Amino acid sequence: MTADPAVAPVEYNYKDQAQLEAENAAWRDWSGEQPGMSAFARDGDDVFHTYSAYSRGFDGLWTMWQWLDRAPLGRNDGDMSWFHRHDQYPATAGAPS
Amino acid sequence: MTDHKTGTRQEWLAARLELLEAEKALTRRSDELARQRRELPWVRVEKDYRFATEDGDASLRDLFGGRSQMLVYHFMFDPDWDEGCPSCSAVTDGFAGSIPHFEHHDVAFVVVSRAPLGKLVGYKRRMGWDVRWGLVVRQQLQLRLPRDGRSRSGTS
Repeated sequence: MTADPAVAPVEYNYKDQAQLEAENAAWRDWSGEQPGMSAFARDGDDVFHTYSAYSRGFDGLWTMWQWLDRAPLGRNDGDMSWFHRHDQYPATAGAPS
Repeated sequence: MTDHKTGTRQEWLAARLELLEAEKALTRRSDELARQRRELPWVRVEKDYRFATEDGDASLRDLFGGRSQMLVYHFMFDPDWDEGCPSCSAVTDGFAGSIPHFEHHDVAFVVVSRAPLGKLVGYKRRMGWDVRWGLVVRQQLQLRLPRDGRSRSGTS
């Protein structure tokens, strides 16, 4: 999903630019990418859109969090500085402390 | 010594059984929500979305690969970026291993992004994902559910 007015009119999570800005001022001067998922059905040559979800609407599909929800300290996601792409963790990190 | 509340095994079991009831209620609610999700009206896709894929140009229908259902993940990969979004990468770590299961359940799974195909293919190889990744070339894949009750799909 892109939130770049040069590409498409901004709409995200079923809200337009004005609604998004009203909820979070950070949307005002920002453009770029946002994640989303969609589902489609095919009947012969016909294709149908059946479902879409955005933002925390697919929280459950980010399976890392589902496991961390069952760890003693949970997501502990106030500080995300620990989090990297899986091939970018420093070699010394991830060891037991 | 931990600051967290501690207890005996018996105390834990009593609290766990109480929590189990709440978990079961959530599971049942989640099952019901999934059923309601499947009851949403289907909206015919009229726009001719085009994708660049490793197998060549494809329509939305082509991406099904003959299957009857398709799940699409929009992966944040701005055309100017050299690597994909870290959060989307973690999400992809989660679903990539499930794709063979989806495909044997008549469900195609496709990742779409806006970056050039070469960047997408290079990044998926780096990350070790066996996923079908397409570049949305003609239309931004941004489908809206009708707010006003009128059937409507797609935007450009």
